[in-house]
Amino acid sequence: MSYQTVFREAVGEIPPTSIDVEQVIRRQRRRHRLRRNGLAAVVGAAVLGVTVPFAIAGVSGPDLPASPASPSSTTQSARFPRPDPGTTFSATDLAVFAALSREAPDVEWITEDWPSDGDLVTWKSVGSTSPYFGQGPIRAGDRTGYFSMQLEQSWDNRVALCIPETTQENGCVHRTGPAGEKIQTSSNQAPITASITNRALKPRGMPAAPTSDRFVTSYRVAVERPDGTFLIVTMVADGEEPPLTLAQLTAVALDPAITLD
Amino acid sequence: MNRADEDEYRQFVTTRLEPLRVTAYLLCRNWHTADDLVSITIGKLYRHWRRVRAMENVDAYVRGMLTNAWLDERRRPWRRERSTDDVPDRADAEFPEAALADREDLLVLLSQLPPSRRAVIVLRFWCDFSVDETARVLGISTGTVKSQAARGLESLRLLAALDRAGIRARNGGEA
Repeated sequence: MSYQTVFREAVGEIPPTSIDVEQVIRRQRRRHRLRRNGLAAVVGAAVLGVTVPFAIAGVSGPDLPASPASPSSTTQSARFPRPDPGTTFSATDLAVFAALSREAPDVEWITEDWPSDGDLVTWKSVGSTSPYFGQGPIRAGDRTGYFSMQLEQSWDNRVALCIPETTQENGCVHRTGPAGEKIQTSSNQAPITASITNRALKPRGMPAAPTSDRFVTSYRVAVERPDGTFLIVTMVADGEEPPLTLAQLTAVALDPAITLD
Repeated sequence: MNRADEDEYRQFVTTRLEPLRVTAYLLCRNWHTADDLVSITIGKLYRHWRRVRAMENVDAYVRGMLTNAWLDERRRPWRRERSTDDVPDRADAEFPEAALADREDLLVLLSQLPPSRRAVIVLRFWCDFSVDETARVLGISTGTVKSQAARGLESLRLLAALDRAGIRARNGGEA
């Protein structure tokens, strides 16, 4: 038995994560913007420091640029994502869109201004042969979230999402699908933030106190097909009601039309 | 970061999240702290993604970032050891399911190693790093990695033997 196997068995069940990758990205973008704006302010102050004395002395300095208007933030959506210019979607992409459209007719793909800082985000996928990975933001009414799908043939990195006997509170279920698929589902709701200090000072075993009343909700479905193909489909939403239900997500994951090219 | 870079980053992080969490858990033995460490690591990774993605072994570098994040966190005042009235959690060696007790034992024993030695053990034997990679990631010599790994494994064996002796004593000479 290898050391890795021993460690993997020692770790046992891996609980659902509270990490929201999209929030990490948003936080880092914001941090970058603040640093950039701070630098611009410093440069602006330096320019003012040069031009104001000139103005006072009766020498005309260069005109300062007017403040740009705040960008409007309107979220647009479409029934299907659009491919990058000059590219087309793969058969796997189209199968994913069709499955989502069938299982969740009210779901639309967010095509612009998501997550609200002006970046164009559409469905992005990598590879149509093993491994395949696709992701994109979706909405159903005013509920928004991030959908992703991984698809691999004979995946070595497969992990148990949860163990039903010990994590019933996380909606952990293992069952068999209509075509013999092994299905694992789990759902989790966690406070969006809980500072490291706050957690560290909590007595052992006590739940961490949330530092806001907002939650991130995540659903995960892993399906192992009889032919060895392994899928993980996730839905992560900033809030308590994702645009897809766990049942809808499971139905998408079980769609036999989603295959590797 | 432009959109293509960000998509690449997102894909990298999403597919590595579970292995990174397990690595962090083996280091700190607490899932909350493990998630914090992974969040810190992927935040730093975002800031340096363009530089990191050009590296030969991105996975090794990121696990190194994670390990160093844990070592840094341990040095912070609120992470230092504190006295407590409660007895620390211990594996129940008399648990009816031997396999479960064994695996819990391994984590307990691992957590008793000094941090730097624990980091070497996790990187060498869980992450499957070479001696050179482990040395580079931790900023120590290859000789130190070899000696720390050997001493770490020896400590695990010794601690396991002490635990077994204690159990035998409690059970009146029967293991």
